[in-house]
Amino acid sequence: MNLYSAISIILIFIAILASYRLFLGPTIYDRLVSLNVVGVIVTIILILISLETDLGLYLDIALSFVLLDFVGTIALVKYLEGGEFI
Amino acid sequence: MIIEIISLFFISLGCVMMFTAALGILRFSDIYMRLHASGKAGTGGTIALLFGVLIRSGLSEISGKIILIMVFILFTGPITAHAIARAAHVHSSATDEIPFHEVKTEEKKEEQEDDN
Repeated sequence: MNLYSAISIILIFIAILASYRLFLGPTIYDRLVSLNVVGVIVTIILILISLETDLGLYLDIALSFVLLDFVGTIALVKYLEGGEFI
Repeated sequence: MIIEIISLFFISLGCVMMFTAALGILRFSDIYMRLHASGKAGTGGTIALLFGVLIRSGLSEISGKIILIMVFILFTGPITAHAIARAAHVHSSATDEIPFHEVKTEEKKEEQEDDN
């Protein structure tokens, strides 16, 4: 088995372990923390897919995924604080 | 040979740190402890794993984008952890046993009783 595939399978198991709080977290903030870690793991898996298949397209998808993950988390946190959007 | 050993060291270090972050999220008992686990071990594990992959893949046009993603994760990880911790501290009700809305109503009831 290739190294990148093995790392991807290990990371998928880590994401399943971390997404316990995503489904059963007692507060909304636990779900946010778990979602942050799962999003980072998905980004790493996209980079590994890009290196495995030699397609540069997946790197653009990973970059835009990181950007949208950050913006979405900040927007959700600001909504939970009771702030106003633009 | 040496490059492969160094890259394998960084990749395994990143996997262990990501596993530590997931285990901390799973087992710790408070929202601040979970942020402590994910904010440092998650970001550091990501940087270590991507650095190992970057050494292994060599210098090409792909590595610029990987470095960009590394720098972006290095900047946005602490910002996200700080924002979540600030929101949890504003509501100040993120304990493990009691759900979120019940804690808030109980505090309001206690305040009303104190007023009476």
